[in-house]
Amino acid sequence: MRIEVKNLTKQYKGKRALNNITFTLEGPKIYGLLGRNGAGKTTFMDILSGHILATSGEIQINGENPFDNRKLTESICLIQEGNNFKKELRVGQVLRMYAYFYPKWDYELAEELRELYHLKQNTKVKHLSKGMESALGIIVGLASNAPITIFDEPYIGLDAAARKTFYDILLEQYEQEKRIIIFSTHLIDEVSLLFEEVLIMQDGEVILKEETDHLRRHACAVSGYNKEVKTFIADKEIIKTRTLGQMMTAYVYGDSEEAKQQGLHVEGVPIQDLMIYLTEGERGA
Amino acid sequence: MERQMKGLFYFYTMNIKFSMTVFWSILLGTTIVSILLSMMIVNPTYSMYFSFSIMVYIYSAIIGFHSVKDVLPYAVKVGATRKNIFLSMGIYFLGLALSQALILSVTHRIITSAIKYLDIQTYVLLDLASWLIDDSWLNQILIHTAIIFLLMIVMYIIGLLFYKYGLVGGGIVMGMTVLFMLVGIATGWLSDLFNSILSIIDRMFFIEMIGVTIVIYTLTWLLVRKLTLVR
Repeated sequence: MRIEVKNLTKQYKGKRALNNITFTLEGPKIYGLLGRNGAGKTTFMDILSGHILATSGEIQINGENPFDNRKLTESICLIQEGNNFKKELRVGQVLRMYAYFYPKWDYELAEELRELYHLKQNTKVKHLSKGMESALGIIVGLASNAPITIFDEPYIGLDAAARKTFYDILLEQYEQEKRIIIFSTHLIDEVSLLFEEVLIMQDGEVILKEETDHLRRHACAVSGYNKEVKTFIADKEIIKTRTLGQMMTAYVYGDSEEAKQQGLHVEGVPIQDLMIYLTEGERGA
Repeated sequence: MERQMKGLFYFYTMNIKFSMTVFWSILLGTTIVSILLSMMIVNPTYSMYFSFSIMVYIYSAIIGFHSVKDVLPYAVKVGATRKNIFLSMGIYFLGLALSQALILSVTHRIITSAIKYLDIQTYVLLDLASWLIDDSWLNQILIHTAIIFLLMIVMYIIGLLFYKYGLVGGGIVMGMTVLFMLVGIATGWLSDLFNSILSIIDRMFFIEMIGVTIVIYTLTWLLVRKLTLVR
């Protein structure tokens, strides 16, 4: 699967949610779609799933527009943080209904997960707790086996143990059935190890799209005396700098070995911190 | 039938089941209570009048309007195509109108028979269908189906206008319709129209009415073909 996003813009009344973004996603891969509230993540996922239309620009999946394209809507499963299911329906009915819409639906997995998360067939969605409703979303997302599975904050209300179970099953399923998984979350530290590539959005724009391995190797926090750090970062791409007295810490894209050789203290930058630094202000010092 | 259509019908059926059960339970409960109350009327010159069909018409109109917000966003979320939503909603409304008409006619017959059997003189169960043309069972079902279907579709279209164009868009269309009706009443052509319809009313009229409603429904394609979630 190849998702091409070309000059995509979405304008709501008085607000530009997506601002002429262009990038490509290729799978199978687990993508982390990160950014602060209002960055445009949900809008992008809604357009990708064919739920809403872009104001201008386009998304193409394997060269086709996903809006009202049955072949593609059957290949995309979007699970959002809430309101995924009709409140009056029962758990069993929700699962049966989704099975009609996803040709690769895994009945066994759905049943297995339903038991694992202790969801009763006959319980109405409106009687589920927040966490249980999230669990139902997770079951649908995983059992759909959709070649593009999108989770937008899928685990509101789920406890840490249940989330851990979800991550384990997600990886297991991904190994069995490789696909594009787009994962948007604010609990970045918990899931960052799952991500193979990260996209960070800010104010409707993609400000970073990078392989996580590359980020781990090249994004680093360099600390030392002001003058030494400044010399080191002079020709580097700077994410952010902090100064305290004569000491300085710079978050940069650079070779950590080179920094060590210059006697500077070097640490890796967790993806969550990277997202925070990148979205705190303008890129650069 | 293709899988996605099956899924949509399954969704619609499961979704309406609860609402229908509640509605009919309340309606039957109210009818039984009203029959019991009418039995307490001692003066035979007084009677209690009750209409089943009007309640069902009102309920069906509400269902038509409510379906837009209640069903369409979830159909889009689950990945149904707009063409399938359009086709399935039309069939669903016609099927629902037919089943409502069937339940209505059967219940009406049962209650009327019970009233006759118990010889209750103070209770009258009114039925629009029996009043319009003869009292045959088939005609009753046809008339109810035609009226319920029309009400559902008209209210569904109004619901769609509000969904797509918001309060302002929907309000403007509603306002213009009311204005049009008022002009019709003031100039008298609306009452003339009703009178001329009543004078020619027969079974064929209701068959044609279903046909016209289907034609009206096809216009909803213009509103559904680019249907999106409202954010």
